Amino acid sequence: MGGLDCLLTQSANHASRQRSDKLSLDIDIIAMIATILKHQGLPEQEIRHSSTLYDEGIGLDSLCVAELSAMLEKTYGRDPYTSKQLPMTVQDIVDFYGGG
Amino acid sequence: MKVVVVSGGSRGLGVKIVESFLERDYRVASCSRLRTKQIVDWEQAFPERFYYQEMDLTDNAACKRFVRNVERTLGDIDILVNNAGMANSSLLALESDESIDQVVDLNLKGAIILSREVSRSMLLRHWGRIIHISSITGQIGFRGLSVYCASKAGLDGFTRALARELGARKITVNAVAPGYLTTEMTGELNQEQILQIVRRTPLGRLGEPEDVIGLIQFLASEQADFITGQVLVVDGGLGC
Repeated sequence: MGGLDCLLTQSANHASRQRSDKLSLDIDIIAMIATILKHQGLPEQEIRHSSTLYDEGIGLDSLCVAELSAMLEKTYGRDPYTSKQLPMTVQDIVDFYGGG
Repeated sequence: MKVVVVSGGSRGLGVKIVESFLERDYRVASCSRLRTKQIVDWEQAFPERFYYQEMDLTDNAACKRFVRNVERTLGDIDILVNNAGMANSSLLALESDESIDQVVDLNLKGAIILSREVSRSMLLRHWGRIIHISSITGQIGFRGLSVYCASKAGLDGFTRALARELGARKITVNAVAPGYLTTEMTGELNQEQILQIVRRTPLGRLGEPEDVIGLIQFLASEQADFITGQVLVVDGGLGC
């Protein structure tokens, strides 16, 4: 394989890895929220990127948010809530980790 | 095997608390400003299940690092005993800014920061015990210890509020308020003051650290599942 082909292949692999990492990040974050809801005995619901995290949306209360914050920090080493940010949607959390 | 953190475990009541958990096969972590001989002995006797860090509990970032180090070394923390404390005996009118800051930062703020860090992982496991070592002086006051008394009264209020916050996740928060114990802290009282305390105590003596240990062990156990937000006084009846 020539040098240019090799570079193109590496670039394609890198992009594919990034897509895969992003997908995995999305899935993991949604799974965390689903786990918290399950622990609270709340009915299963579809969690979308655009879902609002609180009140009329997914309905996380303040203690659930504290739990999510701790879970995110434990998994990724930092979390938006203790970084003085207030994500409103699932996508906002994904974006915080650069997955947007 | 549960993991317990005891702040200020290098002297006084803290030594007895650490000892009582080690005797019951817990994995124990502690921190204080100075590594005493007792700490070195424990490090040698229990290398697998005793962790110690020399640190300043008034340093928020150091508290955070300490909790992460304990989690890495011993595992997730199940029980926190906020024991570290100090008292500077002086009339308030003569007390310096530095002295007031020292007492409030260690006795109250240090306990709050440690509780915050530990409660985050307790939230994930839906179980935990937070036990504050308060003092009867937080309820009845003591001349020359106004800042210390204020810090302990603050701890009592913190206990009740935090119990309300964390109860839904089966994390209990209680405080033990000893009366006057035969530890270094009462060593600063003169003979006349000690005799006065003994005369006013229905059980007729100063308390021993062991008088408090039983209650701490009980509060840390599964048997105390339904007790939270309480400040339990162990003072031989002094305040009754």
